[in-house]
Amino acid sequence: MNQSEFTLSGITKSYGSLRVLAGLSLTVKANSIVALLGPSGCGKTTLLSIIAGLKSPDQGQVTGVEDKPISYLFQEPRLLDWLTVAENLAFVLKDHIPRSELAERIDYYLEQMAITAYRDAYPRKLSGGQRQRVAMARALAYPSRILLMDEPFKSLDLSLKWALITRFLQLWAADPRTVVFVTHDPKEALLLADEVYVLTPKPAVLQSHHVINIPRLERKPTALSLLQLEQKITAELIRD
Amino acid sequence: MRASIGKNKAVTAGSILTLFVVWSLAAKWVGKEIILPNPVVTFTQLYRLLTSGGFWTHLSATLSRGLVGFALSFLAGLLLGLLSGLRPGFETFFRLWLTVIRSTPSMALILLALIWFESNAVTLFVTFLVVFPLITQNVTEGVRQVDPRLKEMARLYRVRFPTALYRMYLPAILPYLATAAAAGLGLTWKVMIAAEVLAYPRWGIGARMDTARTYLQTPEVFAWTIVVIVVSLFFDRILAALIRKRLLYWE
Repeated sequence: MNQSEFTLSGITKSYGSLRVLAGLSLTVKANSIVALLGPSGCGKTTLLSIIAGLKSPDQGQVTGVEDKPISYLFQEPRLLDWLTVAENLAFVLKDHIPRSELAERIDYYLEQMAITAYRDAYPRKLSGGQRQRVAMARALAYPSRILLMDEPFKSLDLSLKWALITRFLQLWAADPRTVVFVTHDPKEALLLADEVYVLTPKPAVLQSHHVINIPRLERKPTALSLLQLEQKITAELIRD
Repeated sequence: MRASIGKNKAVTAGSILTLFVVWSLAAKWVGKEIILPNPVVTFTQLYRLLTSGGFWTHLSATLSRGLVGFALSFLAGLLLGLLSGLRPGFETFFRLWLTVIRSTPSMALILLALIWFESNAVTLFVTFLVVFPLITQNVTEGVRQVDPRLKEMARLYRVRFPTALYRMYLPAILPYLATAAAAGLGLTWKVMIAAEVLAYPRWGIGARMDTARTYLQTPEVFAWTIVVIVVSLFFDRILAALIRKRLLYWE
């Protein structure tokens, strides 16, 4: 078994009497990108927290993530307001990266996310989209084997979203990791993922599973093959 | 904006002037310097104090005692506050102690300290016991208010404790620390003088005030009081300036 493959088996989670996850099982292949697609509030964020070890499931278990470094792009940027953009990256990196490589690594990822100009700015001075890119630079710069992302491209306009997705895929190709991300946007899922799992709303169980075989380079927002799959998945999402 | 600053200044000047007028009238009405000296007598006495030999020695004795007492309280309060904020067990353990200390009248503390220690130690001991719980409580509260989402982020990225402390917790509690420092320093001077009055150290403003009272030198009591007020205001201003500069620079 590859080092960064991991498996969820029979994950169940309730908040009080509200059951959000009802026996979810799936395997995420090493260095693949998996999208969890479902309506808002269907327990996707809870599932990511469980994979990250931030929450424990009521039943079931996650195997294969023990002690592996994980990056997590939270739904909100979670930056420290009193540190500059570069210092925010250094905050999570300095205990894990040799000091001599720190500045170079920070600058590289800031440049990749096109926010070099804000290197020494404080987060409060940035727009929401810029802060999100800082958080993404932080998640990518962190030397993790597993990357979890919660609605990473939401609230971005279409062209910026597409630009960031392209950039993200380039970085991922240069330094592949096992990626799980959640979204409610079928197009986002189809542009990025090797596999898409569609979840039902509360409690979340797997509704369908799609393997996307179209090479990533051929995936454009307007590609016909993607649009057909998007229609199919959208129909599944709307049926509920 | 400028007009309103000018107006504020005028109001402040009016306020000071009114204070002196009321003080003068009251002194005139009482008619006895030994009960209530008027402003002129008081400030003449203050001038005499300033030019007398022992003034600076007394002042610096009180200042250094106050600052040492405050620094000890601040450091101890910061340490215990951090521990209590980070580990609820500590907070539960120390809550009762702090409540007891805070509920004890400062006079009771001074009297007990007089039985136990020599006069210099009395003043430090009492100042410490009054100011340190205040700092502790503020720091504990500040640590507890740190955004749990940030703490979760730091945990996920396996940020080590020293980094988290220095880069996340301390900056996050800075506003609480500033409030605590301002309140604590103000309290320091009040308690310090009370302790000096009773402990009667060889050098110190409080001891001078008590001597003046004993000899019915009321103008001198007033003059020393003004000295203490000026000291208190001076440090309050310095602290405010420091806070303005260091705090919320990222806003």
